[in-house]
Amino acid sequence: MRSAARARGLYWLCHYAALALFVAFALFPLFWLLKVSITPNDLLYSEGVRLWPSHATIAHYVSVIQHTQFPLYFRNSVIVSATTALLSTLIAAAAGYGFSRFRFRGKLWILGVMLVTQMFPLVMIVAPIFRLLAPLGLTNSLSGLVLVYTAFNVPFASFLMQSFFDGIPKELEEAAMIDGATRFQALRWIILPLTLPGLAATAGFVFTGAWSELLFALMLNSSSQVSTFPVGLLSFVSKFSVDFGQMMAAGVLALIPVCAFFLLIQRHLVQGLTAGAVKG
Amino acid sequence: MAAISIRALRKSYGDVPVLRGIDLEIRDGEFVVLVGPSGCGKSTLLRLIAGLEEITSGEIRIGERVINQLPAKDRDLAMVFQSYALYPHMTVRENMSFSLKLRRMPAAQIDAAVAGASAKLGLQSLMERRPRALSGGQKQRVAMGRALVRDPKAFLFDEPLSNLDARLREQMRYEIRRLQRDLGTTSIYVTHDQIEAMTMADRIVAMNDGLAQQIGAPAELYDNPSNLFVAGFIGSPAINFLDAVLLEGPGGALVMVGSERLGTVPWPQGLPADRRVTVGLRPERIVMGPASAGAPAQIDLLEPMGLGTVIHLNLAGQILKLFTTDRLQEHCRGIVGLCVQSADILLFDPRSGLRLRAA
Amino acid sequence: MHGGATAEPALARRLSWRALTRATEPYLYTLPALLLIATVMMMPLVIGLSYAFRDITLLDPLSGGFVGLDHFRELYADASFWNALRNTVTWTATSVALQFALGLMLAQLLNRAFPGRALIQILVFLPWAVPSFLSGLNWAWLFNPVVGPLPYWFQAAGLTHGTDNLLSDPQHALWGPIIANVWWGIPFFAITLLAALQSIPRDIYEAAVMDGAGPWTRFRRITLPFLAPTMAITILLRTVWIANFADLIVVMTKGGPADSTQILASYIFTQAFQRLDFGYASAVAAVLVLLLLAYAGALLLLRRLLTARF
Repeated sequence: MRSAARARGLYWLCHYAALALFVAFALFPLFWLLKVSITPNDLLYSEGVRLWPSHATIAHYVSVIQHTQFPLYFRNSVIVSATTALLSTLIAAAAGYGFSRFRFRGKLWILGVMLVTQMFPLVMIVAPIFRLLAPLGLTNSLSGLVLVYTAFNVPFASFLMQSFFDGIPKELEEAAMIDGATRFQALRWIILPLTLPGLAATAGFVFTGAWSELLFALMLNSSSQVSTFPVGLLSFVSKFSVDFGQMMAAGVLALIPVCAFFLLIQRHLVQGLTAGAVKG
Repeated sequence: MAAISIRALRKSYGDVPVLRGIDLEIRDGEFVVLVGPSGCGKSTLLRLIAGLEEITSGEIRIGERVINQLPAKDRDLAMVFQSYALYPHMTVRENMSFSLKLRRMPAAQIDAAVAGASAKLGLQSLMERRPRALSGGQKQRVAMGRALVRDPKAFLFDEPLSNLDARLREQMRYEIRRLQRDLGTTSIYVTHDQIEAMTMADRIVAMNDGLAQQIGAPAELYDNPSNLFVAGFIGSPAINFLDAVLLEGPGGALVMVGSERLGTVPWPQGLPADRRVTVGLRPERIVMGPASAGAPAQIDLLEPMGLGTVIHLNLAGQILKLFTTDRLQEHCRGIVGLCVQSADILLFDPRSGLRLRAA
Repeated sequence: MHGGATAEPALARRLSWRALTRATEPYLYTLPALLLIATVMMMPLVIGLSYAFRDITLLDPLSGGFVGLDHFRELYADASFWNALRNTVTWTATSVALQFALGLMLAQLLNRAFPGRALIQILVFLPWAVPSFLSGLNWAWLFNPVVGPLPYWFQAAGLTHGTDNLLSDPQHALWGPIIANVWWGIPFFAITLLAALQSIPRDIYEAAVMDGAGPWTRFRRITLPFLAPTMAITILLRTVWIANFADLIVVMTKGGPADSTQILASYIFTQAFQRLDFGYASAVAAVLVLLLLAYAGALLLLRRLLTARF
């Protein structure tokens, strides 16, 4: 009896120790980012390896917000990411619903095409897209980015939405249609309220993806007026490659929206992926 | 309130036929039960009537109107699903009001209709609850309330009692039947349980393999089955099937099981050339007496069931069961004599399964 | 009911209109997505592939002509290309293997309920929310002896002699982006594996325990076989995606030092945007796509063969 209890105690010890390692690994880089961002410049080199500066300061944040164009970049990113998330979720919800509820000719082909879009380096299509958008006046604009980002995100978002819809029994729409609803009314009143967690999760996923996108933001928009923050941060890095304090402060600022969003939706995301998995 | 007419209805999924030609005329106010084993097509038939699936060929009419192309929402039918399909995010009241709201009925009228339906089903105390806070039986009632509120042309039931335990099922059988009788609404009820079919139906449609094997009142299917399937499916305990041969005898044909004589029947029409038949004997129609009084059979096993006893017997190498309500001696063993009335010996063609009737 | 002979023609017209809308319903729902993908992704993809056969040098007004297989010949003789191909294999294989192994470990740890699980789950999945290139920059800074602690810790642990930046060592520079990739990618695998683990019925484990199976046996005989089919497609997609993932490398090392961290995807990037030779870049990209398609095809075939055996 006692050895069994001891074995169990040992098991949980290892369990928590392993988890502690994972948590430390996950959080350490972010912690370091924070740490350097509040280290005053004069202590930066002398106290390089300390885990916490002897003297903390918010001077870097103030400098970033007031003396650089970061607020503009930030604003642009918010506009682009939020709009992309909204559009992608709507379009993907419609497509995901279509895949979930209907059997129709060409379904396999369409799914195949969507799979292919995940398989090639996006670098390949930068130039063609540039040539496509330039005559339409969509280069050097936020709308052009939104268009491109929405197209990139719709395949995976549709797949996510399809799993969420698969988790809702078809009988509910059938009951609604027998009650006198058109399919669209059934979708609006019965099904959509039930997929709100799924919609939130998909929106969060797309938001995060759009927020992080570097390549096309770099290539399609050259004016700093319409640069998103990844571009801004990169130019910052090349221009001020030794001003680590400010760079890291900018990085921390950039993390805030996505982490906040993530915290809100992470439960639903796990739930949604689990639901899809159970269905097979 | 309407009569429903189904003519030459077929349904295939791709190349796979599920319904192979159904003809059925349902009278206004009738309670018709579609019964059969899994895969026989009964649920498909119900769903075609509801408008949830497309017809491959044939015709469905409600009243005089052909409704083949009519979408489900316009057919004015109400359905109770096996899984109840209650809207999880709505209260009981909202569940029941949904269809009326879609029709833009004035709120006062909706409230009155919902109040009436909930009173009939005893749901008054549950109106503000959500489905997850309801028991199986309560969910059942709400599903029925949702159908009731609409005053539809017909009710469709898709195995509504399958998810309930035995006691609850008995009670709900009674309630559904009583409700339907009070309302007089045409009802089509699908089940795989032949007891439900026998106790609830005005008429039964026994289905197998995409066809209606026999349509008739419960007693008709019980006393006068038209083929092996119906005879074997209806009735509990299940009918006995024995291999037998008909021989010439005084007054008719002698039914011979092995070398034992079971009884005498009038010569049937359509007898196969080798005179081999399948005999159907209902367990409760066999009388047991002393060994000399009938066909001798060896008692194998006794199964007391409370109501009566099922006795497993061996007659000339074939197993059969007998059901009696007589109280028997515990140590009843040995050889007994079996007697069956001529009318209770049902004859079937072994190859086609069809019933052989007297000329 | 109503609907006598006089109403028939109007009724018939209305009903056939209904049949039409019913048939096109699924396409209506999926159309916006398809239109978007077709115009913004598929069309440019075809055009982009065509560049592989043309001379497209930006800023050169005389370019644009058809050159047939010239780029592919150039590619075959290009040592940098083969180097990048080798690195791509190392990069992809190592990243996927580590992400999968550590993700599986994490998923197993999270598969049982314990106090604090919700909080730990959030903390451990957080790296996923971090923009990928920021993760790259972050780790670049960690490896930088000027502001980062890692060079000193490596030296203290005896792994290195000096406190040089790992990213400037041609022998080991690729590990920098790999570690950043693993840090960023573990949550994704952990979440999907956790979902898959939770779908395995408990009864099977209980039956195995009754039969006397220890934890390693249970893992090998129950967990892995159950996970395998679910994971096949995910691993396939992730592998392809990682092979195409150039952001981290471009941000951390730009492919250097001395091309030691150059993978095909980043090579395409430098060819396109530094040499401005879109034609050649597209040729390399075409080869990459072909290789990935072949890999995908081989994997699916393997999966079919394996599942057919059972």
